[in-house]
Order: sequence, then structure tokens, then C-alpha cells
Amino acid sequence: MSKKSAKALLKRNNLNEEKMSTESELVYRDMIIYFRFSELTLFQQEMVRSDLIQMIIDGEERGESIHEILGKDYKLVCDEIISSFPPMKTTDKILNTLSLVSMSLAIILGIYVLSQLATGLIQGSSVLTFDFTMSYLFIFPLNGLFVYFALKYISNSSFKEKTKSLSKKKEFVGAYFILILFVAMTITLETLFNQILFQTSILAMALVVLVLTMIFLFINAKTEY
Amino acid sequence: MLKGILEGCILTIILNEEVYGYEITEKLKTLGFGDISEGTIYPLLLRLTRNQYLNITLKPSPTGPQRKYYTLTDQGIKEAISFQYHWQELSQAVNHLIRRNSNE
Repeated sequence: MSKKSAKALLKRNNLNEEKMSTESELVYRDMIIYFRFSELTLFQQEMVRSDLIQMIIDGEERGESIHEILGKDYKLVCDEIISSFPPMKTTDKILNTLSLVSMSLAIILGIYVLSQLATGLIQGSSVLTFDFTMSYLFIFPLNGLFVYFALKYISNSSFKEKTKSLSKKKEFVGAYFILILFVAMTITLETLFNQILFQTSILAMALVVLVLTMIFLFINAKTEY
Repeated sequence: MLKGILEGCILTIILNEEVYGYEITEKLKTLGFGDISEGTIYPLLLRLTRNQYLNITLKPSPTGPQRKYYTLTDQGIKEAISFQYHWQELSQAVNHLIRRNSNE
């Protein structure tokens, strides 16, 4: 199933979902997010989405609430739907992880390349070098962990009981605090472990960032996820 | 086991006539299966389709998005008959067990 047909289906789904009631839409959105973080391909997700939209709109026409249409345990319905598809092949799992790692590495490395470039230009250095310090050995995995747990949190935040889940404000404050903490840890690590492990030209590092981005884009284009 | 029985019942319903999702839940209700939501049978329909037991036809619905109408493939018909046979055996065995238990 090509990504093109998935995208065509996605557009049609976006049109059709407009007809849904607001009450149903809240549950529906939770389900869609849950599927986005699952092992399903884009085409599988959109196929399920179009079926869900049809079920919900039809049911609302009969005067039913989303409870009555889908049953009370939405997470169970989603899990059953996911398990009805064949499992993701191991090669695809590896490719997926590789693409995610490439992208997050490209981003954090890119940020450091840009900042060192800026510093170099401002200082008026004739030779622009990139200093790979020891702190990077800690910061890059830290960044990876941060991305991993952030994604995990978002995917698990669906279906929480409305009474147990935090209000939007508290969630935002919590997320902001964690972000500040992450930045503070990064700065502390940079100061503590500022020994230079090796030096290369900025250009070489920029090329590494480019290669990592190409790996990400290539895997993305080749797989269905 | 119960999921397999429900799948077999769904196949038997489709064996008799071409239906769409909600109609299956209605039939199950009138037959005495109680309130089974479309959310329960949809994953089963996905599985049955994946196993090539079902043919899907899209037909326009009055509400907008097209509805999926199901019929059985040849494999699906074989599976429905196989289910009915195995159900006969199973229900006989269970009834036997209950009778034996109540006689003790």
C-alpha cells in the first residue's frame, strides 16, 4: 500500500469527520492518536479511521452516543483492532528505530553545529572548527531518552479517566518545567565536561547532519510508516 | 474461545445474507446474544476479512460515508460450515458435562 493512496484516504477522512458531533469527536481523537503511535502503517490507520468515521456518523444518525456505538472500553476496542493486523516485521522495527535515532541525532547535532558556527563567526575566527566535547557523549543519549519518554507519554495520555488526568494547565506547566530541567542539565553537563575530544571542520559536521537527515528521509520514503 | 464462537456466528449471519456492520449487531441482539456493540465486532470483521473469508462491497449510505457490505468468499462459506459442525460437537460436550454434573 503506497503512501500516496494513504494520503488520498487521509484527505477524504478529514472531510468526512467534519460531520461528527463534538462529544464523539473527543473519543475519536483519542483513538486516532493511539493508532498514530501504534505499529500500524499509515494506510492501515487511515483505513481504520475511515471505518470509524462511518460507524460513528451512522450511529449518530440513529441517535446513539459514542458509548453505545463503540462500547465503553475504547482502549480495548483499539487494542483489538491493532491485534487484528499482522505484527510489524522485525526489519521494519529496526528501520523505524534507526530513522528516529537519525532524526533526533541530526537535530541536536545540527543545533550544536549552528551554535558553534555562530560563535565562530562572531569571534571572527579564520578557521571554523567544530569542537566535539566530552559533554556531547552525555547530552546526545539524554536527548534521545527525552524524546523517547516524551513520545511514550503522549501515546499513553489517551484514554486516561478525565478525573485522574491532569488539567491542561498542569500538564503544560509540567512539560515546561521538564523542558527547563532538560536545558539546565544540558548547560551543566557542557560546563562540567568541556574537555575537547576531537576537532573537525564545521563543514564536515554539517555534512554529517545532512547525511543523518538523508537517512531519515530515505527510510521514511521507503517504508509505509 | 468465545471470540472464535462470535466470529463463527458472524460468518453464519453473513452466510444467509449480505449485511453491513450495524445490521450484524442488530441480528445478534434479536437472536438473543444481548447488546453487542459495533466496536466489539469491527475488530472481528477485520480479522475475518484478513483471513479472506469476507468480500466487501461499498455501497452509498444516506448519512454520507459509504458503508461496507459483507458477503462470504468460498473459504468463508467453508469456514462457516466448519464452525457449525464444531459448534454441534462443542455444545453436545458441554451439555453432557452439565447433565453429568447435575446428576452427581
